Amino acid sequence: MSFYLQPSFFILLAVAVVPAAVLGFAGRRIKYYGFVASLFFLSMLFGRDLQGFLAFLFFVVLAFGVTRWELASWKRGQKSMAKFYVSLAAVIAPLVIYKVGAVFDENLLGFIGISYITFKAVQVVLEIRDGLIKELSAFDYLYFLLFFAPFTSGPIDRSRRFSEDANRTYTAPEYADLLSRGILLLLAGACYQMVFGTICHHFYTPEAFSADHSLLYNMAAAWKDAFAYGFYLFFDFAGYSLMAMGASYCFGIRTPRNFRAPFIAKDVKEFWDRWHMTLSFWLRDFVFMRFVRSATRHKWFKSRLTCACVGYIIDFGLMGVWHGITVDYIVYGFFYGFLLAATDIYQKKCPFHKKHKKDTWYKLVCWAVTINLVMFAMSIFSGQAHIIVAGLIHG
Amino acid sequence: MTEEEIEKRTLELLAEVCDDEVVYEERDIDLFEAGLLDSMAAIEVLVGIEEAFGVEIAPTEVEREEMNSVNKIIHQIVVRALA
Amino acid sequence: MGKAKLCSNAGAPRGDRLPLVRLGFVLGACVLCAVGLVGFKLFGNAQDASATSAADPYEGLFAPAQPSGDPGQVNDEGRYGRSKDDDSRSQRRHHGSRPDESSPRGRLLAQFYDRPFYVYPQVGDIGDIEVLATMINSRQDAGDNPRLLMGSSELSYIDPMASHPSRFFGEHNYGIDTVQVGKAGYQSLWQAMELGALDQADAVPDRKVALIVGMQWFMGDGCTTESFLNSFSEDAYRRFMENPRISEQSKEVLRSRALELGKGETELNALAPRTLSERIDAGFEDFVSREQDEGAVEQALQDNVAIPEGRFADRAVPDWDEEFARARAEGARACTTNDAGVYDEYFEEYYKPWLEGAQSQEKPERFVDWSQKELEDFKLFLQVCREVGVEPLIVIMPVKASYYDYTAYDRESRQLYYDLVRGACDELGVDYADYSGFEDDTYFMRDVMHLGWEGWLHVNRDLMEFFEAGEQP
Repeated sequence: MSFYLQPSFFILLAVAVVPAAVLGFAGRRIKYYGFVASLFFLSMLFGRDLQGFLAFLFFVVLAFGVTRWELASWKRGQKSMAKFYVSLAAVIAPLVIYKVGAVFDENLLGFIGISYITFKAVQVVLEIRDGLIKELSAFDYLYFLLFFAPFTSGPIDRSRRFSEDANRTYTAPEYADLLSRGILLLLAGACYQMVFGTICHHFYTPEAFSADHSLLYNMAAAWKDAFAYGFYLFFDFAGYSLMAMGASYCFGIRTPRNFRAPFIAKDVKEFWDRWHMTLSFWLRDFVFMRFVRSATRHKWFKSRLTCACVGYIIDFGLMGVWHGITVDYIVYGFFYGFLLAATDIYQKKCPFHKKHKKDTWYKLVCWAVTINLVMFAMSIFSGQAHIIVAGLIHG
Repeated sequence: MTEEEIEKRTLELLAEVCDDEVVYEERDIDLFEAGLLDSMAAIEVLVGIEEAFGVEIAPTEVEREEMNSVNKIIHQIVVRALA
Repeated sequence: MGKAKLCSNAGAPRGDRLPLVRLGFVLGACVLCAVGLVGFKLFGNAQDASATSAADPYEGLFAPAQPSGDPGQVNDEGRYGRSKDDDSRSQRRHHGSRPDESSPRGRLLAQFYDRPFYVYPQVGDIGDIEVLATMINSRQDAGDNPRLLMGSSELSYIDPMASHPSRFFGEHNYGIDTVQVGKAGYQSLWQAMELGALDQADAVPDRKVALIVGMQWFMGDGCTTESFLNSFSEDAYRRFMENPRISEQSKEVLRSRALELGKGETELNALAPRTLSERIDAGFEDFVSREQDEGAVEQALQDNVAIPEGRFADRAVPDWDEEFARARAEGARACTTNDAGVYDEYFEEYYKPWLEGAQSQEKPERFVDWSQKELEDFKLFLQVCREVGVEPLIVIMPVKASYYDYTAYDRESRQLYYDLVRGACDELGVDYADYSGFEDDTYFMRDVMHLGWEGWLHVNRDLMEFFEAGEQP
């Protein structure tokens, strides 16, 4: 059963929310029931896919084991960096093996949701090391990893925020607020994904440049397809994210949002503050931050600007690779990395920008340029650019 | 290190990261809303704080509302540095 | 800096009733929408169903059922003119004959029982197994004695010859009638699915079936993805999988063949749900697509034709000599342009142009790789028959030798095919009617691959014997 797609999911969700609502209104903690419900939904998710289910079990046992091991070391005061590195490698390994295996068309250790559960597990390992997580019960950890609502494709939550919500109780008005928001989010998300997303996808007809038409025509058609895909992806993914949020809210977990009107962004840096926010923030907090901090401590770069630029390239390069080890995704990631670096340099160094950055006309121009760059990046991501380039090379 | 020193060096840091001298005057505006800081720049600020004052503030440690103006930033550093 | 919280604590808990009121509205709106949709589904259908008004093909043909004081005409028992010496009603009652009339669909289907019918032009167009089963059972109930005849393109007709079973059995009363199931492109795998489905719907009269097997099925690599997907009947697949008499092994074979031939796993899971979520999805689908189901029944009623008057005659035995003479004459009238026994239009359009080319060219390499996959599908059909307890008769159709001898499928090649099919039948202990010896007969086949004037007569005679037309209950 796919989450948020098939009627059986929504019917079972509606049924599952009832006990959660009872607990919520009664001012009781929902987490124990939420955990049981999550186990049920995950068993439905894996359905007939035994191989995936076993890979999933393996990951959970592995992540749980090394995390407890690391946490014990920190609680004792030992704070062994060796244990930290081993734990980190262990939780990253299954995803890496899966992505590398995919290059060779092998399905090794893969299971639905592996990419997102890895983020969660890594975050816990890192924050234990940073001393931000001083205590984490086994139950809370497992609930964080296994909570069904954002399991398949995010949004990527943070363990401390999650556990805070899981362990609290709500008054009746508070829960009523959550539940009504949750229902509305589910409805809005369903509308986004099933109606608007489908409509936009209808207009996405990627093809190589055809000799039958002029270059201008071909480019205009490609431009149309890029925009169609961009909006399709937005409605599809934002719709999913809204539904995941909605389902979470019904269980008392205020899963963070993933999208905030991304297409009004005036530059690509702002875009990533509005598009797939939980991913972008995760990478910022755990990759960009660590890189910039190391670079600053060890003085690898002369200027803060250079350091930030390299940071962007690494940060977004990793994002591209995380999607998959294919030409399209890697180019996509590094494209954004270089684009963000260039934007930063432009904004910091260009007098023209500094002079006009408050002018309305300038902001409009920036917006227009940004949305085109973004849609161009979408065409790389979707594989459309690949089709066109391949067509040009072979044609 | 005194509070005045912290204030002075923080302002220098912020002016450089935001690339705008306005931080010296407007101490209470929301730097994110004003477009002076974005998420990535915020990281640079945190790293700069660590470098200058030896105060480690993880990005997920503090809520944005608590560190989005010049005065609030200074306050967070002071609280940790002089604790 | 962390992310700003979306649902900030500062806002919500005012300790007042407003959120509860808002929730009430949201829930109320949802419930209203749901009730509205469900209600619309349930009651809207009822309206549509009762408004069906197809032209009545029975207009004026016979009086509505009355207590009959006049035997020999229409009576409650034998509308089909069974002699009054016979036991009035067929004692061979089958399960659940009359549909449940509490639903709109049931009411529509019940109309078949009140006015048993023929569907014209092709029964094979009915994809809905329940409609087909109701048709079969209602005709059986009324004493029509329909028997299941399965095959492919030879069953289809536009202007059928007198010996075609639809006319031979349909216009006379030779004891049985045929229900011809199958169309062009429907090969062994489809036949197996359809039989399993008809058995599940209790619509295999007398527990016997005759299957006309075509050589074309075994050419190439058997069934193509395209023809399978075109012919695939969801209803048949579902019923096959639900048939308790069919073994798990056979079901697994069907499933893997369907996947192999391009059916999506999700769709198959939806048709034959195993897990809880699949069952819920299937149930939901049923509820939503109910409207189309009645469409199939309505369409069948629309296609309804009056029963030919010959069915009301006294039961007779065909005079075979006269029939063969008549068939030969009809064949001769239809094949004026050639001696091969190919009807004129076909000859002009296909045969003659081909003939001009073929005899001058070199004969192509003999084809010997008759499809093993099709053979396995064919064995599945036989296996399913055995499992559900249906006795099959395999009708091995020949081809026009004068054409095929010049192709890759020459005499030796064709013998391999016949051996293959006969061998499979022997292996599974099944009877067959082998017409491979009639390849050179002029009027056996009407063109290169379809049964013709005399061919059908042979088949009809064997069908009558197989279905024991002479011996009525």
